Amino acid sequence: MSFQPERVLACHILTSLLQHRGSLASLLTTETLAKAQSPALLQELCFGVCRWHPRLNFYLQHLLEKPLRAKDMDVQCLLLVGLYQLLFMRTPDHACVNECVGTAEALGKPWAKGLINAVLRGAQRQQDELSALAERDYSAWYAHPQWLLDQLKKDWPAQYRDILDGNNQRAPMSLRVNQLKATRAECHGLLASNAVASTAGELAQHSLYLAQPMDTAVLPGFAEGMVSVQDESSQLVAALLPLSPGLRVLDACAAPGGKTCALLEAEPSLQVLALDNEARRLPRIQQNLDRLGLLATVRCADITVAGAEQFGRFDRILLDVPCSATGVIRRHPDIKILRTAAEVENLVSKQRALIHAAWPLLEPGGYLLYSTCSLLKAENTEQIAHLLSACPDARHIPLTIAVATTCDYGLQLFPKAGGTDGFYYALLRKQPIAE
Amino acid sequence: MTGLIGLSCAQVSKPLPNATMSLLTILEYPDLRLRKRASAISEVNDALRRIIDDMFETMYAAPGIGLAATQVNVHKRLLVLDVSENKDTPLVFINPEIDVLDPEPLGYEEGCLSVPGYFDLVTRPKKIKVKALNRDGETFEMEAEGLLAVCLQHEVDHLDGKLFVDYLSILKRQRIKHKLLKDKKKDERGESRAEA
Repeated sequence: MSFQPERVLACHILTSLLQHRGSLASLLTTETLAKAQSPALLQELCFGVCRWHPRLNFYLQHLLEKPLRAKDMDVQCLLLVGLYQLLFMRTPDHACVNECVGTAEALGKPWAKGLINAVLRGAQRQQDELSALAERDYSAWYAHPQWLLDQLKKDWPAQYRDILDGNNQRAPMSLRVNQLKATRAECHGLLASNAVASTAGELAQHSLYLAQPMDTAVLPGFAEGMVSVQDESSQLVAALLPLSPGLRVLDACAAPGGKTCALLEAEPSLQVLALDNEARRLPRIQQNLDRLGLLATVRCADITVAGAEQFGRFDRILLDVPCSATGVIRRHPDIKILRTAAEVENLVSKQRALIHAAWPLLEPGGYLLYSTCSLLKAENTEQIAHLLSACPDARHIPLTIAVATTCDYGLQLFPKAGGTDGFYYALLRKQPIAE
Repeated sequence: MTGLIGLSCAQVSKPLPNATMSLLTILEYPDLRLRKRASAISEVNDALRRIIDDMFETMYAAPGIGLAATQVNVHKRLLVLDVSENKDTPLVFINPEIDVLDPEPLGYEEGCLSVPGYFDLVTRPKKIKVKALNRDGETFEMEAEGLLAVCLQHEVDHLDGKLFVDYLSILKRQRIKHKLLKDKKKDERGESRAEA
């Protein structure tokens, strides 16, 4: 019996992705990975091509005499995979070229063999020239779509180069230790006794970084609810939102429930209502709560739709709004291919609607923590400025985190090699009636 | 994911010392020799162990995860496989007999070294038990699920002259057959398949 080569599987996945028929998350499923003999290689090819797509595609356009037809997207993907292996993975040249040429057959495009051979050999020969050309093209060199590059440069003129570099790194795997079940040191010990190396995160009290990413199915303590997979930046919401026993808390956009659980681990007596407007994502919240041994009410609801009053008022609201996810590009490099400037505009209006819907649900004297995994000011500090101007009873409460950048309102974290994702937080308080 | 249940180290096949191994030729569909039913092995001796070692070398070089003796034109009930990701768990099955433990169908996109370049969904029982002799001629039993179960059933089919394409529609099978025959003719004319 033989396996389908990883290259062929990667071509199928990337073709669907470039034709906007899915994302890495929806296409590179556990079942798809299981089709490959080396799931790690399949993952590397798909993530790598997305991560470097603007640069690889730039090279490809220089190497092709004429553009490929739309129906030959699979051939284009095979060329991108080949270029990635040649230029980024250091796959031996002859092996890479021969295998890619052979793959044309498996794609049912034997006519493309000559073309593939010519393009990849051309890339080998002209490596230095191609790099020199790419260096003069910002989008290609920094491997970001032009609109996003322009926006980041405008929003963060002093930091954008570091941000772009951060986005091109591989994300580390970080864990949140369930403080109700173990201390960070105990968990570190459990991992170490299973030959899993980890180090403590510097920002979040219960965070651990794994030296090597691993499948949660074999992660010690995961099934028992001792640890969860969560970026350090997301863990911080539990430290930034002032909590005390028994408070009524609304997590308005809760799925998959990571932050809901982080809040409950910090203060298990909270009465949490976890909402999400996508019914299919609710079971994930419940699974996480069950695994960790936490209690919350989980409902499918959209607070921007009439009827949110039925839920009553809350002492604390976590508003972790849907966003452009530009702070987690290193985890979802397909954002570079799929996200458009127009989508960001839609997200900004959606966020604004969520803010307007959430604010009346907050008790006077209560706190609302607004968060995004975006790096764009339109989704972050500008939204808070808007809220403050629209809601006279809203007060901005300054936050502090070491290494975070202070904005007009709120704090911004940038993606950092070996550290956090890009993330934004702002804390607001509704003026008490007595004041 | 390999689904090894109760695998003891004794089952892992180690090559004969000081033996020089060689690559065997893999028969390709629609070669009629792939349709022959293999006969039971009466004695496990060094000659057989030599074939086993050559089969492993051939399988790893292909590269594949399983190889039945039928595929290398040896019509004896013998198969080798290694479904581990690191290719460090060679298993050999002599005179294998399969019992279904869980008939629930499991679909898997199968490919075959005798049908190069084609992959298609085949459904087979999810969990099986296999009884066979190891390379020392000792009887052993093993339960298998997941990829190991798929691969074992695929290889035992070979010993009965059956190929995974037999599970596909006649139309698909015909298309694969014509394509492979065309490639074979090209090879015979001396054109390399890898270069246009």
